Amino acid sequence: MNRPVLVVEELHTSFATDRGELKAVDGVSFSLRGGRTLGVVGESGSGKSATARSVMDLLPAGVSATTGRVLLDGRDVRSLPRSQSRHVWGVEASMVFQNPAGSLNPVMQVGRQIAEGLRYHRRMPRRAAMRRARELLEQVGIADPDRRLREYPHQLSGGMRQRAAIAIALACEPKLLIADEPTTALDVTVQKQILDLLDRLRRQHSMAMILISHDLGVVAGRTDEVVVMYAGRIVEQAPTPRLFAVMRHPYTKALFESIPKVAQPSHTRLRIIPGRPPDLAALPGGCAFAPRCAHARPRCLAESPALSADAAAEHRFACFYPAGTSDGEAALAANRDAGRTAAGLALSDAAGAA
Amino acid sequence: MAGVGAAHLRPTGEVLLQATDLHVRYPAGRGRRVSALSGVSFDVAEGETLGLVGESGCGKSTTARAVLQLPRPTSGRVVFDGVDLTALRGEELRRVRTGVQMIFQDPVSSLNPRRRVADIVREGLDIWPERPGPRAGGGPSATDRVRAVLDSVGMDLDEVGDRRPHEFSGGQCQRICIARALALGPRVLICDEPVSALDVSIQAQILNLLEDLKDRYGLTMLFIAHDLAVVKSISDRVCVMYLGRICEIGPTDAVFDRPAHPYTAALLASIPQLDPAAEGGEDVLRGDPPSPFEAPSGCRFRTRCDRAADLCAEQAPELRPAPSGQFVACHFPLPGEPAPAAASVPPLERLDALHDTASADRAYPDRLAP
Ligand SMILES: Nc1ncnc2c1ncn2[C@@H]1O[C@H](COP(=O)(O)OP(=O)(O)O)[C@@H](O)[C@H]1O
Ligand SMILES: Nc1ncnc2c1ncn2[C@@H]1O[C@H](COP(=O)(O)OP(=O)(O)O)[C@@H](O)[C@H]1O
Ligand code: SF4
Ligand code: SF4
Ligand SMILES: [Mg+2]
Ligand SMILES: [Mg+2]
Repeated sequence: MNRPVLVVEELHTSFATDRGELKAVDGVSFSLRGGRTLGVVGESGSGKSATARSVMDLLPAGVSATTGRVLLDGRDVRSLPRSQSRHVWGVEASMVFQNPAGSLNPVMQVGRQIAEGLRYHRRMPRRAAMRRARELLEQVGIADPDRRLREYPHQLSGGMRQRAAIAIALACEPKLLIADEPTTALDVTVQKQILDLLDRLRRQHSMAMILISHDLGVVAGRTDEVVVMYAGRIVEQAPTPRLFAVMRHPYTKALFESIPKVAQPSHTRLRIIPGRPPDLAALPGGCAFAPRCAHARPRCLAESPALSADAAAEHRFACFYPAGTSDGEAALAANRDAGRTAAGLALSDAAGAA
Repeated sequence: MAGVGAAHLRPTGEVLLQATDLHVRYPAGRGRRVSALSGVSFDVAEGETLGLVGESGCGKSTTARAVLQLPRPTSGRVVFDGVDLTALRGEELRRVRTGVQMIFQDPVSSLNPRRRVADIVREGLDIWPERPGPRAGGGPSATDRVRAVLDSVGMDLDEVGDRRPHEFSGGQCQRICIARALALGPRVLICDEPVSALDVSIQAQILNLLEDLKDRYGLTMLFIAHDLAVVKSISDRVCVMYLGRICEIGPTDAVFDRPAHPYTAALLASIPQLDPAAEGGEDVLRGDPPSPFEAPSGCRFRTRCDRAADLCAEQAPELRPAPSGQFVACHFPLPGEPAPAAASVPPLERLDALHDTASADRAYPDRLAP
């Protein structure tokens, strides 16, 4: 059987802030097999990057604390000695960021940057490493690679810089690539090029990939499975086609419905999610979505829902009154009758007036 | 110099705002000049929303600033309510310009961090005490006006008036910016990427709010965004730009459903689909837009266009009527088939069945939570 490349178990990460402990990742678990893509979606501040950086061991030790297990190819990488772990990050697992500047050195020629990793981790001679760097630039679709090898990052367009960052990330043929909002800063036509490129490279190298995005559309067509994050937790998880067909968590559903869609005629009224995401340094008890949730009942304020295990459909969600279930519809109906939710959110039929 | 034509403009008497043949060149160091707009013409009728869409650097913000004469365009005319702004100077220009207000992508940095919200919103009223003009009706006091515009964006003067911008989230700061813009009773609101920096759930709040305010105050809007779905959702007409020129302009549903310009079609085909079953399609567009220093001769899109022929390098195409009601600047326009994006998204019935929008769309109030 195809054993998981990555297993993450009960990951918790918190930051020490001047307002106290901030729980950015609060008990995240998932696993991912080779050649597959996991999408991670959520609004800003939901803990997507903190999760990725915790997995990659990229967080500053002083201000953050991480617990939990990260198994890469079966090895618990968080407990490896430094001498071994430095050959894991950037080699077996690597990362691409929203801002390619995060992975590019502004004062080093692009070719040397790609070759660097090969020389250090793979002990390749300089000439061979440069030849390989040229091949990689070609693979990521950079025209005129001989010229680009000798250029500095500022001489490249935004799309080309992201391609170069991808070439660096792939140089040592990692088993796992984490792409954290890799196209958020790019225009839509270039976004499509980069997402197509990542897709092609993942297939060619049978890599496992985590694609992080705030855009449900980006993950819809590019992933095998999706996790939805809210306030540091996974609130819903399912194979991608299943998730887009059946959204159980009220947050997932509301998020989807709040997106303007090109298929709809202009001036289609958007569904909104009232309020805004909670302050992670001062989370109230109960479900973190309760203040914004139309389904919220008294139980939601008292208890925090766990991620359910619905093994049959591989569909899990953390909600007491899920959308499209009889419990969920009953909760919504009761709140409508009362005119407000248990958290005090007014549900008016006169929406939009006043 | 070949502009892109003016066949698409309506008679001056029928529109509130008209820009003709705008050219903007910026100094770009070492004596060089970069051409950001090359012959852009458009108009907006009263109460209409014109969406401006295109990739970064195509000249959307420059267009917005040229309308406001900030800075004055290198050449071209802007007529607002029958008055030629390009002919006005100093105090008079500033007075007329109070009728055209603008909001920006970064609401937080467009608010002075040291001032209280009440003062920020009131600012313009102190400079122009005789405004708000015709639309205020009966001349309420400045405080009443501030209260009313804050209320119209879902905020309470007593609650927020004494607070400062840093105490608010990005979405709330955008509401404050909108209130400030409305205080002077403008007839035109220019929105330059007003939701691009906001989270999806907050973006919907602001888009709905803008639609409500438009109805309530009879606003005319120029709405800029790079997100095509956002532009489609709010616009009556849409203008697609590429490298300082207009590719296609016309009724929103025509342009989106039956694009005539190859660039519009490519943009639409690049939008990530919300349906996992939608087929991906191959790379629709190669490369990046050329630098404005190296704008191609003839049609500026020709270096990325798979329909390009010799003529495209020789002559800049002028805007001409297309079959579906829009105007297109292309020598070999598309026949007006449904856009691939529109064809491959799930039909609305299916979306409705899946997500039960009919029963849920009134579940949430359109106002901020308490
Ligand atoms: N270095 C840090 N110090 C303190 N707080 C942080 C730091 N990095 C992230 N956070 C906080 O952790 C939470 C999750 O952030 P992040 O993972 O970046 O969210 P996302 O990537 O989903 O937008 C946020 O509340 C953010 O403010
Ligand atoms: N103040 C300026 N000085 C020099 N060049 C500018 C200036 N503002 C914009 N530009 C250039 O003009 C072109 C159009 O820019 P802009 O109108 O901001 O595009 P958009 O808003 O569509 O992203 C770009 O090439 C940009 O680099
Ligand atoms: S119904 Fe309750 S548990 Fe479910 S999302 Fe809403 S508040 Fe949370
Ligand atoms: S004029 Fe020519 S190059 Fe330009 S869009 Fe039309 S076919 Fe393409
Ligand atoms: Mg992030
Ligand atoms: Mg701009």
